[in-house]
Amino acid sequence: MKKYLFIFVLFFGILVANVYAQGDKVISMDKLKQRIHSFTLKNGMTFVVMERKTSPVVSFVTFVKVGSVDEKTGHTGIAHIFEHMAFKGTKDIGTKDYSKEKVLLKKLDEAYKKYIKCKDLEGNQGKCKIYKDEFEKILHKANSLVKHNEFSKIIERNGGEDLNAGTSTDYTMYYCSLPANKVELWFSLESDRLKNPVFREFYTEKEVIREERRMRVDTSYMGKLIEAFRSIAFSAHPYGHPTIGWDPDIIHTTISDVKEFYKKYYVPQNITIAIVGDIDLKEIKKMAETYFGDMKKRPDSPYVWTKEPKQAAKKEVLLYADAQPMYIRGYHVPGYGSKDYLALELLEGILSNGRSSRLYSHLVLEKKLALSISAFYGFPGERYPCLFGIYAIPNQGVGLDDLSRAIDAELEDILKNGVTKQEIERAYTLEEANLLREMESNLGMARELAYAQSIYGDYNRLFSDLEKLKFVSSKDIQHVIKKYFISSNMVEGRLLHNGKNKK
Amino acid sequence: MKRLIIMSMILSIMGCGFNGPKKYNELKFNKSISWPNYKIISFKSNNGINFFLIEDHELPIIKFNIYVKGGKYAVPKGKEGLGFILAQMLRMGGTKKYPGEKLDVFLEDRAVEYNIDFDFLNGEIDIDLLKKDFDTVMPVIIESLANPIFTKEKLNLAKMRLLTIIARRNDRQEEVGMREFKRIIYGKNSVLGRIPTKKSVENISLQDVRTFYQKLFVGPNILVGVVGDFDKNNIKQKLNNLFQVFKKGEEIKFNFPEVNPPLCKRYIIDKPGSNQAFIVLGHLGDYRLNPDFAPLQVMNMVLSGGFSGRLFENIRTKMGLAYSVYGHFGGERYYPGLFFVALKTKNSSVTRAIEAVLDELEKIKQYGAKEKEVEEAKEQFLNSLVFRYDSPKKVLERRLYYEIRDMDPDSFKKLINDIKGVTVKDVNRVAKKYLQPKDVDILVVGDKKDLGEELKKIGQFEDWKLEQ
Repeated sequence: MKKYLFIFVLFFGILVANVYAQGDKVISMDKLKQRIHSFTLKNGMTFVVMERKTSPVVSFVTFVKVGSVDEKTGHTGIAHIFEHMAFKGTKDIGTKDYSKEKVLLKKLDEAYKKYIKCKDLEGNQGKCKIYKDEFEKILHKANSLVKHNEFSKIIERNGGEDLNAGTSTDYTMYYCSLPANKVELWFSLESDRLKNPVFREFYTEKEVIREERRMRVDTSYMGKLIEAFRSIAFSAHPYGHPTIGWDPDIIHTTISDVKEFYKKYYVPQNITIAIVGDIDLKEIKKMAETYFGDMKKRPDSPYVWTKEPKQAAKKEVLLYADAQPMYIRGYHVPGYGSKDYLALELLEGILSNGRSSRLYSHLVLEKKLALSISAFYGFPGERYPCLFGIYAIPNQGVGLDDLSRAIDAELEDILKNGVTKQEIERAYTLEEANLLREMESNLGMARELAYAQSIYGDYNRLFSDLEKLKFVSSKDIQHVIKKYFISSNMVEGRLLHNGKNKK
Repeated sequence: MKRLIIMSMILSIMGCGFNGPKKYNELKFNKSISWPNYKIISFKSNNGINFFLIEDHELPIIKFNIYVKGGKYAVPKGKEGLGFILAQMLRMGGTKKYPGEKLDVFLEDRAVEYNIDFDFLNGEIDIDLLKKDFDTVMPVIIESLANPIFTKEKLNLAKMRLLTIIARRNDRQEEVGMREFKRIIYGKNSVLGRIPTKKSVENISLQDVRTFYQKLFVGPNILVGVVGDFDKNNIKQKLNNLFQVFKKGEEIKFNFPEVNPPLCKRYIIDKPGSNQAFIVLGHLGDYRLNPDFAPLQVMNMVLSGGFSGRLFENIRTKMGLAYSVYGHFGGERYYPGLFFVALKTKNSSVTRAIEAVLDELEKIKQYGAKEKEVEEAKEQFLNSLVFRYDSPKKVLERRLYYEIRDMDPDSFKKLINDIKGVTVKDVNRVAKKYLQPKDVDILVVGDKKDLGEELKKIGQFEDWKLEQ
């Protein structure tokens, strides 16, 4: 499964649709918006639907506003574990006999708790071995009742594509595309797994997830650097947690933990569904009511009240490895909705969107310091105050200090001389074109709509933020650089080759 | 039009039976779904360029896929890396009016996307622009391609970039493993296995770039795909005018050496400190035009198709041995493809994982697939066909893919028909004939010290040397 982990949850970009005059043909924002509709069920679940009848296919995105930022110490990785478990089926799907299975799963969880506690406290001997055998015996019995991957197989057999899911700091999303005659199949399957998830094969799947961690973090230099960088950048706020979770936390997560997590966060008012493709709005409304209307409204999910204290001095992380160097830096900045939000967004574009952007044209093409470089606002999420990051890979023989100084010089130049009108317009034009290009993919568009509806509170922000973006000036950009891009507010990460190429 | 009628039938079916929630197995669907039939207009210009066009008026965008036959295949021996260098220099060169970075500004002010890449059999140039900019932008881009500005400075930058990539290419286990496994099978120095090295890159001169460019960028070697919101009435004229600047010349012919891979080899690439190993094992696949290609693809799906395949189900879901496990039986047009299975697993389960994979291969070879598996694999393929046609760009790219390989434009239709006719008997026959689990070569990328004892159970693993 090509599951995204969104190590870089790059912000989805402000989308723009203003008037495209094409001779007698005009694609206007209004015309585009006319094809998008949203409605909310009584239980609080929101749907965003867009008709696109170019091809008889439909894409579905289920977007849940829960991610690793909502996790507590000791329970990191649980949002991601749940995401994996959402493919394990329901009371009807994936089982040979649910009533028997239910009893066994309960026993299994108790046996695991007993075993793992014994192992932690007494060191895996004597009694613990008995507990382990007992656990494995039940595991074996429970597994014999499973129809493996039945949920996914049904979708694939019916021609499903893009079947996957992803967990980030801010959200979890599930998606797939189906031929247009299978819309109701999706409603049936998706509502079933959201209402009646069964956490079968839980303990085997955790081993899969631990392999995923080894792959994405332990054996990936970039993964290691990012994990260390995040955890020093945020000392109090849960944005510092690794989204995949710390290994011991994954090991200690139980089925009852995941059930509790489900009850707290998978409430209808936390779920947004986007559907884009060859559909009929009326039918979708009817099916939404029929299949999701009976999902019970539960209390609102807990929210994060911890605030990252103001950073006192520059922080730095150095990683030595038998690998080629990398460089990353970040500045603490406010998240979505703050008054500096748009200026930061535009700055991201001016710095690194396209070959003519400041960092690419100067550091990659002209000064030949970097193989690649990118700026990203909204790391590792944007629901809460976050980082504005810059990530670069140096060319052979270029020291990271030279690279870092060159980045400083670029920021100082903007602070001193501002940016040109042409640059602002270009950054804007590129965003504008992004939307048009996004429109070519049902899945891409569904993700954008779900994201904006859930994280921004309204899918219309995709369009209305543009209007505001037009009023961002060179002064606004200088203002955010002056305010946030200062040494004491900075976090730096360096991957160094075996101690060579020092800083 | 046809599509509309079918859609209304589907809706009416849903409409009348629509009372309450249904379980997935209670639902009935209209079986046949039709998709838009994109018509490809093709013609040839006087200088030998082949054009393929699909009209699509949904958005005011026009896209070009320009394929240049030859690709990395055509790079002279000892100059490996020349494909990358030429792609970079073409993109960085610009024109007299818009030299170098001025071209980027010109293009990005208009939100044009313009990328050049070199694949194995062809170079590919992708352009994506708004319709209204066609007449302003296309002449500039074509000039940058037809009269490229190659300078020493840009050559040095391109070389520096490639040397940086070479220095970094061994940092990721999977990348190292897949690349080197191919070289084990095809031979390190074969045209199918060679890679750029520090030496070969330093060897490349400005004259090499020019010569290579002149050989590749001639009419009969160029295929132009255009899709989007163009005006059918004058597009042919416009394209003829734009592309007439390319010279006539000689088409590159592919001629591949025979492949004689070693059997039963065991290699290891050391990655000290790694707690997970990347494993790839396999042998040669076969040719795309082999009449058994369709049953082989069905076998492929039974073995490694998405969530439903045996490898995913057994190695990942049941045993929990890997997050990432995948396999492929490849069929190439001009040379035998690669059959392989790859996965990543913690050091302590490397032997178990290798044995489990070999066991799966042995099982399907000896006992074949179940009727149900074959039917479901076919169902999956046929039901998802609509996605192969859901954008005109996909249809166009597939056509260009076949053109480059000198294949029947209807190859895909034929494959669909062939797959429809595949039976469990066919699958079992090809599994017996083409899978050789006893002969596989195995490559492990991981911590040699930590894996040492484990691996001994499977055989003697020799070191595989990496080139710089």
